[in-house]
Amino acid sequence: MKEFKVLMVDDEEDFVRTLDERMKMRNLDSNVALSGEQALEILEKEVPDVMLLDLKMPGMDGMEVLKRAREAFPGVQVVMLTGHGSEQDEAEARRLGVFEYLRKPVPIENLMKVLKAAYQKKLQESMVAATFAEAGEFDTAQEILDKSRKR
Amino acid sequence: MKETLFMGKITATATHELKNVLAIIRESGGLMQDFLDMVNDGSFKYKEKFGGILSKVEDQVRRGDEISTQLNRFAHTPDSDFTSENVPEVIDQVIALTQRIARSREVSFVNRPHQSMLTLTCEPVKLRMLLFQSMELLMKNAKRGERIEIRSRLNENKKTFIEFCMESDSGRNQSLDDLETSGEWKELVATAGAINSKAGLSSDSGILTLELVNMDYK
Amino acid sequence: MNLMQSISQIFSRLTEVPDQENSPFRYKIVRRNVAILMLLITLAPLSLMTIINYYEYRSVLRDEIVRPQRVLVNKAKHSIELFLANRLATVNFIASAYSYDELADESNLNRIFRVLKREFEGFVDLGLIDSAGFQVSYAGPYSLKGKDYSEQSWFENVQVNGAYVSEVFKGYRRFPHIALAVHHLPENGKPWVVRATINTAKLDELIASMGLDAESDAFLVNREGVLQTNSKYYGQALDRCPCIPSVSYEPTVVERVDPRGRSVMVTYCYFPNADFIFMLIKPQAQVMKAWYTLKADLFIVFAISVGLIVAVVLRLTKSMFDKMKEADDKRALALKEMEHSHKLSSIGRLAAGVAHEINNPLAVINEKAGLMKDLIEFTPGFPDKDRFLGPVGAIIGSVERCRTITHRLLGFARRMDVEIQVLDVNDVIKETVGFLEKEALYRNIKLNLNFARELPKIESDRGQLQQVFLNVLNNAFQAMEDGGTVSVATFERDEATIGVTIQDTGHGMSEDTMKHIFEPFFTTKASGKGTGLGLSITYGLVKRLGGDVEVQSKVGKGTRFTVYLPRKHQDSQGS
Repeated sequence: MKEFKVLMVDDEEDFVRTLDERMKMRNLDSNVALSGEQALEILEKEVPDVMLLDLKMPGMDGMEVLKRAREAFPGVQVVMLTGHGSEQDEAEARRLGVFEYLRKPVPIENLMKVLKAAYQKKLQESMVAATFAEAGEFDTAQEILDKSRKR
Repeated sequence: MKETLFMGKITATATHELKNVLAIIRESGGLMQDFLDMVNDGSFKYKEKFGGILSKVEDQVRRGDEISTQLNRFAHTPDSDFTSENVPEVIDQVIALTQRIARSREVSFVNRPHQSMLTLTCEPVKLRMLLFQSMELLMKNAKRGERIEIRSRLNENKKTFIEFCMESDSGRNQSLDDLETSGEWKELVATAGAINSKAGLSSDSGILTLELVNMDYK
Repeated sequence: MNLMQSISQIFSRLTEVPDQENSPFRYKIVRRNVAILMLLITLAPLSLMTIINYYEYRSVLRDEIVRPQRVLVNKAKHSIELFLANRLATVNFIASAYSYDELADESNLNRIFRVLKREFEGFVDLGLIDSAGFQVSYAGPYSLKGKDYSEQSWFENVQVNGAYVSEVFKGYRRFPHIALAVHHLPENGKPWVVRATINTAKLDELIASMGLDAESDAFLVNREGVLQTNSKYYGQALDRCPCIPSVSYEPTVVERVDPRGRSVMVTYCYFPNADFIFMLIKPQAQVMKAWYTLKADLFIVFAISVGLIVAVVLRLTKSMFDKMKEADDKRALALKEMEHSHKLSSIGRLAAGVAHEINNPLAVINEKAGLMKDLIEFTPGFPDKDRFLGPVGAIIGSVERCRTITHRLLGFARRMDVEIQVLDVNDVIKETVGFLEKEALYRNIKLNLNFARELPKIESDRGQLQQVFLNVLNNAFQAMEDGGTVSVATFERDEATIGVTIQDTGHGMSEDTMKHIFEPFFTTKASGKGTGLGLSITYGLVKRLGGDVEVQSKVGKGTRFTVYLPRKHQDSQGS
C-alpha cells in the first residue's frame, strides 16, 4: 500500500522522470504530467492528494494550472517547485492558495517533508469537510473548506 | 553607472564560481564512470542504469555551463561609454540570453546578418538593452511557434539597420496602435533615444526596425 | 484690418516656442522673443505717450508764445491806423473849416501850414487842388504850385472816395513820405481837394516804441511787397520785401525761412483801410527757446525710460531663462537618472532570467545524483557502496553550492528594485540581528541593543535596509575575535534624519584602510575569502536610499559605522 498519491507536473522530462522514480522508491504513488494541459487531463481521471507543480512551462503555465486546480479540485494540495523564484510569483501563488513554494534544486529530504505535511493538511481538511457534511450544515465541500479556513 | 558595474562584477564572480562548481560535478561524474568501467564481472546490476544517469548528468552540466558562460560574457559587457562591437555577435549573445523566455513563449529568434562583420561604436549596455527590449516586446506580441528573423545591415546612409521580421503576417496579438501606446514601446524608444538611435514599427513583415548610429567619443 | 492681421501675426510668431527641444538655440530664441514682446508692450505705450505729449505741449506752448505777438502786432497796427486816421481827420478839418478862397490864398495857406506843423508832427507840406486837378496853392519846402494832378490815379480815387491815404513814395521829394488827400464838396460851388504829405519818421517812431529786441524786426509793407518803413534786416523803405503772406485782417502767425536762411516766425496783419501790411518777424530759435528746452527734457526722460525698461527687461528675461534652463536641466537630469534606474531593472531582469535558467539543469543533476544515491542506499549489499557514495555526495553537495550562488545572485538582482514602505528601523534591526544570534552565541559575542524609544518611522526599503545592516554587522563580527561586543544604537539625528550606529570592539582600521573601505573589491582579508563587495554594496545601497554612511575607527580599539537615513523617501535619488 502506497502512502499517498502525488502528481508531478514539469516540462523538464529528465528531471520529472528521475524524481518520479525516487518518489516511488520512497513508497509514494507518483504520476507524471509533462505539461499543464496534460496535468488537467490526469486530474479529471484520477485526483491525487498532492500536486507538485512547475511554474514556467510552454503552453499553459503553472499559475494557470494552479488557478484551475484550486477551483475544480480544492481538495488537492499544491506545492510549487520552480527554478523561477521571483517574489511576485511567490506572492501570487500563495494568494492562490499553494501549500508551499519551493525553489529548484531542492534536497529530496526537504521535498519529502513538505509533501508529507501537505498530505497531512489534506487529510485534516477532508476530515473537517466530512464532519460538516455529516452535520448537513453545508452543501458543498468548497464552502466547508472556506469555513474551516476561517476558523 | 556604478550599479551596473556592481551588478556586472557580482554576476561575473557568481558565474565564475558556478562554472567551478559545475566542473566539480563533471569530475565527480567522470570518477563514477571510471568506477563503472572497472566493474566488468556483471556483479553490478545498475551498471547500465548508472551509465545512463551519468551521461544525463554530463548533459545537464554542459547545459548549466553554457548558461553560465553566456551570463558571464554578458556580465563582462564593457562598462565603458563607447565601444566598437560586431553587431551580429551582440545579437547572438542577446538571443542566447533570451532563449529561456523565448522557449517558454514558444518563439524563436534567428540571427540573419547581411554581412558577418558590422561594427558599431555604441554604449554596450544600452545596445544590449535595446535589443533585449525589442525582442521582449515582439515575444509578447507573437503567436505561438513564431519565428522571428533579425536582419542586420548597413543602410544607404551608412547607419546600422536592424530589422525584426515575423514569418507569418498574422503573428500579432495587439494592433500596431496598441503596441505604439504601450509602456514597453515607450521604454524601448527612450532607450533608443539615449544612444541617438531610432526605433520604428510598421505593419509589413519587418515589424520592428532599429536605426543605430555610431556614437562619438566625447 | 490688414494692420491688425499683420500685428497679430507678429505676436503669434513671437509667442511661438520652437519645436526642437534639444536645440541649444531654443532658449536663446524664446528668450529673444519674450524680450521683444515685453519691450513692445512696454515701449509702444511709452512712445505713444511721448509723441502725444510732444504735439500737445508744442501746440500749447506755441499758443503761449504766439498770443503776445498777436497782441503786439494788433496794438502796433492800431497805433499806426490811429496815427493815419488822426492826420487824415486834421486834413479833413482844414478842408471843411476853410473856404476855397481862404485856402487859395497862399499866405493864408502858409499860416495854416505853420500852425499845423507846430501842432502836429510830421506834416511836410499842404496844398489846395481844384476840381480840374490843378494845384491852386501850396505851402511847403518845394515849389509845386501849378502842378497838374488830373492824370494821377490818386486824384480820381479821392474824388470817388472823399479821402485818400497813399502808400509810401519818394515822388518829387527825396525821402519817403505818405500823401493824405481829402475831397471837399461845398453846398454851393465847385468842389476842391486838400492834399498834405507827412513823413514816415513818425511811423518808424511808432515801431520803435514797440520795444523789440535786437533779433526781432517789425515794418510796414504794401501789398505789392514794397517796404514802407525801414527794416533791420530786409532793406530800407521802398526796397522790395521778399515775402507777402496771404491776406488776413486778423493778426496771423506763419513760419517761414527768410532770405538770410533763418527760420523765422512771421506775425502780420493787413490794414483794412489802407494798402499796408504790418509784419513782425522773430527768429524761431529765440521764440521757441522754451519749447526747445521742453523738447530736450522730454527726449531725455524718454531716453532714460527706454534705457531703464530695456535694461530691466533684459535682466528679467535673462534671470527668468536662466532659472528656466536650470529647472529644465534638473528635469533632464532627473529623467536621465530615471532612465538609468530603469535600465538597471531591465538589465537586472535579463540577468535574473538567465540565472533562473541555471536552476533547471541543476535540478536535473540533483535528481539524477539523488537517484543514484537512492539506488545505492536502498539496495542491500550494494558493492563498493562507499566508493560510489563519495562522488554522488560530492555532486549533491555541489548542486547545493550552486543553488546558494544563484540564490545570492538573484537576491542581488532583486535588490536592484526598491520597494518603499513606512517602517520602524528598530524592528528591521531586530530582525537582522536575529540572523546573527546563532553566530554570536557560538562565538561568545555580546550584542548590545540601545534603541531610541519613539524613534520616528521612515519611508524606506526593508530588504535593502536589512542588507545594509547585515553587511555592517557581518563586517563587525569579522573584525572581532571571539568574545567581543557589538553595540547597536538608534537615534533621531534631526527632524529629517535618523541614525544607526554599529560599534564593535574589533581590531579597527588604519586611516589608509578607511579611505578605501567603500571601494568595490577592496578587502583586508586574505585573497579568496570574500569578494570585498560587502561595504561597497552597503555604501551604494545607503546612497540609493538617500542616506549616508560615516565610519570612525581606531586601530586596536574598534570601528563605529553610522548610517544616516532620511525619514522621507525621495524619488530623485535614483530608485
